[in-house]
Amino acid sequence: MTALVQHVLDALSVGSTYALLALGLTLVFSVMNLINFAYGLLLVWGGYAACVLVDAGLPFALVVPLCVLFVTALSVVMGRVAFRPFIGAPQITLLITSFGVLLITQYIAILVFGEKPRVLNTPDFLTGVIAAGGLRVPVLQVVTIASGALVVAAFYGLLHRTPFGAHLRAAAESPETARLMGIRPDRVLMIAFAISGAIAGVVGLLWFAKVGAVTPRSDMEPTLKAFIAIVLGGLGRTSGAMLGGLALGGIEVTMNVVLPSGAITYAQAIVFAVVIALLVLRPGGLSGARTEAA
Amino acid sequence: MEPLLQVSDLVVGYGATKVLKGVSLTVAPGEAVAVLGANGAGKSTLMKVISGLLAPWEGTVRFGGEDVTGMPAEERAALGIALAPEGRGIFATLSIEENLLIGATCLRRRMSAAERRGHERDVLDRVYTTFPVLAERRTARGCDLSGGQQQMLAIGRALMAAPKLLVLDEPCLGLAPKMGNEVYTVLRSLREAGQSLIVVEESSRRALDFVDRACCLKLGEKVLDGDAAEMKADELLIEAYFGLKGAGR
Ligand SMILES: Nc1ncnc2c1ncn2[C@@H]1O[C@H](COP(=O)(O)OP(=O)(O)OP(=O)(O)O)[C@@H](O)[C@H]1O
Ligand SMILES: [Mg+2]
Repeated sequence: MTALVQHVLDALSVGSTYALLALGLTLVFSVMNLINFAYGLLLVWGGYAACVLVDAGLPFALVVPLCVLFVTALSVVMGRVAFRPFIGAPQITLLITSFGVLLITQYIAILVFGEKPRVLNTPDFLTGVIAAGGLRVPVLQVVTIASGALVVAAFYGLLHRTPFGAHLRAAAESPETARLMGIRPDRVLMIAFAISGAIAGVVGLLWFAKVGAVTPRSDMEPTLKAFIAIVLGGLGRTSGAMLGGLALGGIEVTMNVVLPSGAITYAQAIVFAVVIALLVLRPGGLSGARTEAA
Repeated sequence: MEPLLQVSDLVVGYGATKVLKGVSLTVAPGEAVAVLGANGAGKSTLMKVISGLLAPWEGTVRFGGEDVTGMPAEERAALGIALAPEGRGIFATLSIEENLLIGATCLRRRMSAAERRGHERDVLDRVYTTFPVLAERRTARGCDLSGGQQQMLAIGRALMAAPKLLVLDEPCLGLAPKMGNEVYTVLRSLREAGQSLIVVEESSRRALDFVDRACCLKLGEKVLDGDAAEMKADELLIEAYFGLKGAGR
């Protein structure tokens, strides 16, 4: 029983990280049809920012908001400089642009920080373990699940309780009709990049606190996981993205538990196989519908 | 008097296909104008140019004495052009009230926040009084409305912007005749209140009863423009000649 609870907590914490990743990517996709390959680099830069600030001796309570702010700003700059000029452009143009942004931001990271991993020194309490009733729960896991829940709640509050949120949803549904209402597509895009960046800031901290070190190529895994989660959940829906993220976390943890130790090496491949099988059964993803920011 | 809207010698199309071949149209303040024409004549294309969704290849659009030819749709909305597009364009995932409130977005640039909130409340009340069914279902999602209710919502949403010019592209498309009559009852009362408007129709009969002036498009060219009452006398001839479907609607 305790083992089961433990696995569920594992799945929830891994899953909520993936869910947030997928959410941030989907949000921008829903208003611009942009698949942003550079999204993982936002995490990387957030990770480096955390390293630099921690090493400079700032208290962690200050590092967290500064990092989130930094990644939000970076995301807005990225959107403003690289993507805003291409509002309404064909998807292939956007794909090429996002690859370009990926390469540029990655090479700047290599130039500035080098290829070697940079250790992120997190405060001691984050590496602690809470022991309760036979369970041993890592503090970071609790923090991850709580942050995930908080970000999702804030996101839905923003999307459904503010005029900006209504504008985002309207523009995601029909950019032309939104413009007829006086909604500026460039502003919607910047808001989407800002929210998406704030989410990336949070996930970046959680991700690198867990992994322990940042490299310029640390973007690969989170980006990949986000894409799988998005495809799994159903492209273009924020609810689907979160569902896909949680499902992917669940599948991964289950694989690690049920696979015999000899097969663990192939766990990733088996996860892919499961995802593909799911998609064959439900081509539209778990949520089964198309673009909609709701 | 200076026209409210003056479209001159418009040429535009999609890709390499020319759709409008030099169309002009004026609307005076307080005037109601019908744009008639058969399927594919270019009516919706003309409305897209007027609203700013489509940039013309040649020709100019002036609104309220200002040249707005290069102005994007979101800015023209702020100037006072409200298009209720063909197919209604209701946001399916937004609630009725969200749909309505979003119609007032363009007022952000014309009014202070406090002014706008007051205006939103007033117009929302008025729209709900005009369309009680929307008030009843204000939390329902756009996709849960019937076609007729969606059309009411589209008109209500356009009115939220307090437009100087209301443009309705086939407001009765796909509606039962009874529902269509209800739409026209509302339009008539708007017109009596002095609202300038353009209404696009394939069918001439109901529109000609209602407007001051009408023009007919055929294959991207304006082939007739005149007083609605005079045109009505020739209606049968017009219908035979232009292939407009008027009868029975
Ligand atoms: N987005 C588009 N891309 C390419 N061609 C288009 C597009 N929209 C319209 N057309 C073409 O332009 C011509 C005029 O279309 P338009 O929609 O303006 O006609 P309409 O008079 O509004 O017709 P309807 O009564 O069917 O609404 C048609 O031949 C149509 O096929
Ligand atoms: Mg049309």
